[in-house]
Amino acid sequence: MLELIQLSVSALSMGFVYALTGSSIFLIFNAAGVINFAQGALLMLGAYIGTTTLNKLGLPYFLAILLMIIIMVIIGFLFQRLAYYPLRNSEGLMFMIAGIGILVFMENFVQLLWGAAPISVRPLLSVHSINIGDLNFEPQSVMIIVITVAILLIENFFLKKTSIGKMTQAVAQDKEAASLMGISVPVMIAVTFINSTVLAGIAGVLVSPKFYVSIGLTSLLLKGMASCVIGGFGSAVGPIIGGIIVGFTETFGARYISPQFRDAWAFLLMIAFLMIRPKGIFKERISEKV
Amino acid sequence: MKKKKTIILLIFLAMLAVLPKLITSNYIMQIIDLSLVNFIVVMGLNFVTGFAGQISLASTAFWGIGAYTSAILTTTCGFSFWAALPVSGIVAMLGGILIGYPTLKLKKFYLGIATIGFGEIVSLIFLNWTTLTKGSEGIPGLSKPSIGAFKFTSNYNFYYVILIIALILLIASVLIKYSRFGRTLLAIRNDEIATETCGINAHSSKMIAFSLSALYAGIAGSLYAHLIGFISPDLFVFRQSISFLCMFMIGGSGYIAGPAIGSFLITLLPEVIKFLQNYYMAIFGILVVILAIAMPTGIVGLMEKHLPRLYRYIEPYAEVPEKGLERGNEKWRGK
Repeated sequence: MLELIQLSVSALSMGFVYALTGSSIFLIFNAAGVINFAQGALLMLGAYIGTTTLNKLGLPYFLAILLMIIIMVIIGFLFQRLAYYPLRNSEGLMFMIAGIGILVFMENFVQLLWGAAPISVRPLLSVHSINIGDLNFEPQSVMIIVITVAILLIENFFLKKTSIGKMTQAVAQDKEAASLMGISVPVMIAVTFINSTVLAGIAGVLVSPKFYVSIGLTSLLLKGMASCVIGGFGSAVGPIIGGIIVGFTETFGARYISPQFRDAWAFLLMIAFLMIRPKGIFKERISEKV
Repeated sequence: MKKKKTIILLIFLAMLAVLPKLITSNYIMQIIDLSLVNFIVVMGLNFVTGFAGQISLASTAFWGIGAYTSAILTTTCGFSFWAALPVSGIVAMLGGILIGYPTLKLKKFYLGIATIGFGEIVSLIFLNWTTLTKGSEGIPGLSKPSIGAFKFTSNYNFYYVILIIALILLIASVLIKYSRFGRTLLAIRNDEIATETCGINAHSSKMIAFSLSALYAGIAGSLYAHLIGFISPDLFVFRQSISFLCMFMIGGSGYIAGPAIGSFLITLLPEVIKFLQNYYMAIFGILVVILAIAMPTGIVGLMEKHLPRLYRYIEPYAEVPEKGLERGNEKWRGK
């Protein structure tokens, strides 16, 4: 029972990281109808910037994350201006190729700036473990859960309550109608890209004390995609639920079935979902036209 | 016109035949061999993504299945290379049928994501099925083929083996593109539902295209394994699939000449810009972005639009529209 609870906390924390990654993929897919292969690279870049603001500059944690977010806003804007905007009218596959180019660039760029060796990052809490009775929790897992819930609440507030957030939602739903209402579609898509980049960056910083910061972090992209597929592209809640399911599947699959195939469980579940319920748990409300 | 084209084709073939004589560096020769191997994989991708318009990101899985089948058959089962080559193609094709049957019902990005999932699972199997694949150690010491007493030991000799196989597969892909089946695939790309209402089983056509692409990738995998002489699971990862897709899209989707241009360009480009030392892979990434933005239809697509005369020479059976007729999805609707 104790083990079950501890595993669940660890699974939930990984799940929330996948949820953040998945949400960042979902935002771009929803607004622009494309899958961004550079999302994993943006996440990795966030983690690397985090190592500088935390380790080199030695800033307090929240200040460090704030600085990282500001840098990510700039990167997100540049990314959408240079890689997405010129390709907005061509087929989605070409943007995938541009994303691949950015991915290759970023991987080598961070190695030039930060070196090829993996970097360790100090965790948010300096205690070794959090004990409640007989239960031991990894502090970073608990912090990931707390911070992600806060971020997701802020994100929800941004999308549902602020006018900019509502405008981005409108553009995601119907570009033509939105532009007829006087909403600038390119600006709102830029805002969505920035939003998505920031989410990816936060996911990168949060996960970095758990793993070392290295270019291997780009592979979180695949888990984020699995979260989106399982949760469904229909609603912003989809990737979050999907991410948590992926986190639980892989943690429990690795513990009770086979640790070598840790990564396979999530993908098997994703494929099962694609076979049985291809639109995920939360279906798209407007189905594709026949 | 036709005569001129035949002469150019013959000159081109002669150039391909004497190419190894002009290359002095063994390393560069290996890169050229590699481009040919990549060319075969990308040609396979053309069936499913180019003609039928379905996104497949599992090409590395089939490439790996081909490489491992060939490696295991030659090292532990005592097969010769010539026997292992077709077997590895067929095993990859069976894998393609297995993966394609359920996933090809999916559309667009969903298909892409499903094939990514399968690719990851296959690469984990390579890594963890240690009794068969020797896990992360990989399989070393794969021998080069021989005919009688003649051994294709160097990269220079092996070039001809790959070249001949690639040319056979190229001719096959031209024949398939302009067959009834090829036209069916093009129809599916343009409008799947309309094609189905004409009484064509789109799913089985896509299945055939998918397994053909797996066959090509499997053959390429076998060639790769014996070219390099060593395979390990870290070669067959998602990264490789996207670089195949990259070669494919940069070359030009749906054209016969596209895969050739794309695979050679993307394989050789890092070597050409290697003088930039530490920066060359970063610059390579940027070049890919620039190529994608500058040529959304790929290099051959751009040629068709702006250099129709050159395009007619490199693309077999190219139809260049007369003035006033639109090409594209509404092609030949006429005025």
